Amino acid sequence: MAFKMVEQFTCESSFRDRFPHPERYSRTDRFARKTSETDLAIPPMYARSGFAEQFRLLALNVISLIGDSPDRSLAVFSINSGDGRSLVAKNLSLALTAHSDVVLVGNTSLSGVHKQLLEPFELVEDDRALAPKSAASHDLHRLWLLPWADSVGARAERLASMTADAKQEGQFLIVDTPAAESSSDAFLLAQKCNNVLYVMRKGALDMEPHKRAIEQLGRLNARVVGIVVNDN
Amino acid sequence: MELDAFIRQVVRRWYVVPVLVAAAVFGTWLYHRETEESKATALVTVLRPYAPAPGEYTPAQLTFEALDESSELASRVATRLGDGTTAKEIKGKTTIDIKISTKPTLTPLYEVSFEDPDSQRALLVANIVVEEAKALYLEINHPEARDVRAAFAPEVTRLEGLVSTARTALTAYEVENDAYNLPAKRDQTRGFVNQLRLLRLQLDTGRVSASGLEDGPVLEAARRELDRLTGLEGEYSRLKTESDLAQADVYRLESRVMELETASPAGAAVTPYLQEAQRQLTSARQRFTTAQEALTGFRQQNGVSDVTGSRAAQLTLVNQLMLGETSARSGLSSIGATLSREEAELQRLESLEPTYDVLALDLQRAEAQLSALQQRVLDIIGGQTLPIEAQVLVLNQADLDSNLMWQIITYGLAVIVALFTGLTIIYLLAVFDRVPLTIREIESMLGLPVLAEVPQASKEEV
Repeated sequence: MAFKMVEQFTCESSFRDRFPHPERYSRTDRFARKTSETDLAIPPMYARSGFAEQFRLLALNVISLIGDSPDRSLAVFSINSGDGRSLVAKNLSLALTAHSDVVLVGNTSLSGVHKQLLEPFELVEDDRALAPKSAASHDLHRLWLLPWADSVGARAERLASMTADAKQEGQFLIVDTPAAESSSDAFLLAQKCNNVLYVMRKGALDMEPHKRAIEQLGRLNARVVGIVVNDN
Repeated sequence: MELDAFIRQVVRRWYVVPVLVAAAVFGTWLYHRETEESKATALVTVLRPYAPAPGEYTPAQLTFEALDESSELASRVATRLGDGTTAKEIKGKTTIDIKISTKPTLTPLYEVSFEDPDSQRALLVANIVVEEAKALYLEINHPEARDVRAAFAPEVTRLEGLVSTARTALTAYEVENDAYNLPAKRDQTRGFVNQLRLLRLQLDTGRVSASGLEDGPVLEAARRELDRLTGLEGEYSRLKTESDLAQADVYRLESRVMELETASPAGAAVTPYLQEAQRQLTSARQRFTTAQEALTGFRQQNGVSDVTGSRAAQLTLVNQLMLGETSARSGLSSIGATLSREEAELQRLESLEPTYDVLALDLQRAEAQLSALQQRVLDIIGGQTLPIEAQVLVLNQADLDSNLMWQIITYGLAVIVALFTGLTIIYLLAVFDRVPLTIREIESMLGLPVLAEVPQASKEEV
């Protein structure tokens, strides 16, 4: 396989801090003794911070929009690099784990894998093999990488396979796409995922590029479920 | 910028336009409060302001509407006010304009206006301006006696020349034919002839004796007196004519002065004309006195009060004496010879009559023309052709003008300018806009819901 799967890393204590959920506390307390924030290298997300609340709200919106659908794949899409796709994808995934299993699909690019996605993980074999930094395991979250070096067809085929698996297992599949301005793969992945979460940076002055991008997504039958405005 | 985008910008910054409109209205109100002045306007008409009647003296006229350019008018008004207002201030606030009317009028109407922050003062000054403008207009357009005489001088000189020529021709004819005052001489000769005929008839019938008719020395004395009176008659006639003309002027000017003194309404407008008429009356009286003195001196010097009458009486006396002498000296036969001679003389005089009549008529016509022209000059100087009461009429006394229309215009302009300025500002703000779009605007423009707005997070959070 051209990509390596990183199996079942856990970051339960971090999730608890970021998205505390009464039902989840009971499930995760047993892991709290085994893991620590330092171990996971995921900064604590404070329960009442605006940042955490927005992602919790976003997760609820996503669940409301596509939670009842058998196909729960969602491409996090934006035009420009630096718009915050990986930030949104990672934290949305973390927020969704409070409700359901989530598979986060990363995407290597010419500049490598976004550090936002790699933060909870560490290289174990080579530059494509990732494993959780913590030794503790958890079945809520996995990270898949779609290497840039693979052909377009191979990446599409692999994503389709992952989508099918997630659909079968009732998981949310969150795909962090590359920037649309630098790679048409963004549209390809969005088309394969069926659902698109459109990310744009706050402070945009010109809406025309966004209009054209959304129109293009519409022509590819990719359903844009909503927009996330990122102020970071 | 597309229209819908501009409309969105207008909706987004809707407050700009009301703020600017409010500011413009407030500014206009402030402008009116600080600068607004009441304007009082009187309505005046001037009869025949441009074209005098045919044949009238036509001086260079200053039209009524030009008076607001006169510093003299402003100076007079300032003097009348006496409150320290300068002539320059008066001039700057005074206007005299022809009133534009849709109704055709043969006589133009003038609006005399004065502006002042105090409405009562505006009314007061406007009325003063009307009075002073009327007086100044009449003064300026009234001809000076010197100008009138200068204007008529060529025609007077020409007519005087005609009179002189006619008189010279007539006199020369009289001297040449021994026919001074031909009609009188003819009548006198005709009477003498008739008396001779009557005397011959009486002698033929024996009713009278020729012994008592001789009176030779007396006849000679009577003839000398007749010659003296004949020599005086020309000078006497000139002096008498001058005296009569001067007296006629005195009578006419006395009537004019009386008319002006009783003119209604009397006022400053009448005074200049009254003063001029009085001055001319004084002058005419002096001329009359001089002529009378000359005539009286002539009479005293020559011992005769009425040369013409005395000469006629003397001529009759001479004729009678000649008749008596002839009868006494020659008898019936001599009467016949005298009668024949006198009849011949009468015939000669009658033959002179046609030419004499023509020359006398020429002189009479020339004198009449000269007299009429001199009378006309006097009439113009006396203001007869510029009746002062009829030249400038005040139709309406000063009244305050409404400035509602001006206020409507200024406020309307202010609002319109504010609207356009506001829209321009909105447009420029939109063009150079660096304000991020709001969530609502993003949703509206992209047609999608914003599911989350990720705030800035600490480094640990991200």
